Amino acid sequence: MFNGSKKETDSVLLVSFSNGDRKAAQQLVERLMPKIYAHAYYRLGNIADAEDVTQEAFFKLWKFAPNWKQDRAQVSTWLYRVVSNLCKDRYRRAALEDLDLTKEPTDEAQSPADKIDDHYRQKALYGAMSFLPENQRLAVQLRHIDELANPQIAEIMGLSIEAVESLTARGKRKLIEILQTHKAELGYSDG
Amino acid sequence: MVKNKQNPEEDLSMFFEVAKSSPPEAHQDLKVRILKDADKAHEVRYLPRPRSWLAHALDHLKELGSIPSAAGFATSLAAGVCIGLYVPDLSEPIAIVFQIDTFNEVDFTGSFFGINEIFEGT
Repeated sequence: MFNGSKKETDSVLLVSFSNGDRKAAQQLVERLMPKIYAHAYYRLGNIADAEDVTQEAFFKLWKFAPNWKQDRAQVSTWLYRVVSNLCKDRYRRAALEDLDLTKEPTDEAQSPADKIDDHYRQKALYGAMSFLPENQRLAVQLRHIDELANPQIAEIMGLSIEAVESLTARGKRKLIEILQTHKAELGYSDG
Repeated sequence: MVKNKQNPEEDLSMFFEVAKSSPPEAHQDLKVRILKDADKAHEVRYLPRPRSWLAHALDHLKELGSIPSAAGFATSLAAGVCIGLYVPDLSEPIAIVFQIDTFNEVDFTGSFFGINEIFEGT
């Protein structure tokens, strides 16, 4: 999650990059790319599109860097907004059922049974999320998976904080409903 | 398979926790590509830009010996252009100075330094 102190640092890094410091770009990528990529991946459902969108978002950031105002917004917020728009462009084309969640979980401390459980939970969650309307899905993902605060989500989505809270609440209710009613289709069943 | 909890809210939270705990990892190549883009953006920004005509003109000005020399050069150039464009008719002032009637006294049809006579003699 991006907190207040990090906001300063990201902005400062971007300004440093714009002033000729190439290492600043590297730091920014190391810090922000994993979150941005994960967000794009969960929204688009495939690795190639997620990579393209992430690269494109950063490319826009590099181009925009000379015009960056430090008091303007958080770099992460700006990136999430760009990625969100890029995903919207591709979203209709992406087939979520092709979501590549087949890779093995990497946590060695987990038992094989736990790994399978987690794999099914993950697949079921994103399967269920694909049934949500676009706005609800984005709000739920930003709040509960990307772990952003409501004011930041409101800024990304161009909505009021109240609207974000409402979208998130409705999205969660609908997710519960979907997970209950589509257990078999989502590979999720009672114990 | 997943065991269903009694509280659906808690159950959903568990799904979110799983998603957060194992985020997809980007290929290392993606980072390399993004940093290459950063380098490109950098190079474009810091490459010497094509110079304007004004910059070239200022360079020539320096070669001419700076502003005083250039001013003299510009004045003589302007005078030349004016003379070229507005050819002054100097016949009147010349006639006044030499006290001659230019139309009567100058015979443009006569012999030119006796050349006609030379030919007539042959």
